[in-house]
Amino acid sequence: MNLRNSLKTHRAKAGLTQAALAEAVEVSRKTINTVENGVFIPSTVLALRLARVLELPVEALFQLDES
Amino acid sequence: MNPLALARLGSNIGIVVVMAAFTTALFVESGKVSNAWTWTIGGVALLGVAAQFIISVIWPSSVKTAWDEQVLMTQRSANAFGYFTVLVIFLIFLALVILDVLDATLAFYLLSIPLAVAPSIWMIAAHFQGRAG
Repeated sequence: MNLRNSLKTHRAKAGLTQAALAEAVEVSRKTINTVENGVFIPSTVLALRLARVLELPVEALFQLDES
Repeated sequence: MNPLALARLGSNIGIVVVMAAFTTALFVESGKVSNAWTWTIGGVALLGVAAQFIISVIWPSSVKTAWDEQVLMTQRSANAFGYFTVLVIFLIFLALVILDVLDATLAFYLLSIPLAVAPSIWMIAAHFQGRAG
């Protein structure tokens, strides 16, 4: 079971750059980049912080790929 | 770029470079180690620590992002990589010392090289892969 995420789409919709989102959740821009690319799976705390900043439920950002 | 992440990268590169020079000297001088190397290696390591400490004090806002959860995970991997690298080399050296192929004192000095370098190499590689700040 893999983790899919739509962080990049929702970040773009919110009009935020990777750097701006990184600053809002207190991580590096590279961490946002690796999360968006599926290289790094964030902790629950970071996932909830991202969801809070983007004003979305966490399930809208991260979904389990059942296939 | 985050100044603290840059200082950390510089410190790791410094360690790798000075240990590479130490390794070269070790072979050129046929296993005899000058005491000056102790101060040089220790000096480079302490310089890296001091630089990171000073930057943390001057730019406290850089600390959280330079040591975010991805970097902490990368550092744990670097430590594990260093541990297992040294463990494997230790076992090889142990066999060589028992077989009288390698001098025990020289083996002790040689073991310090992967001990210092392996975690730093991992961190440098991770930095350029975007996994360390």
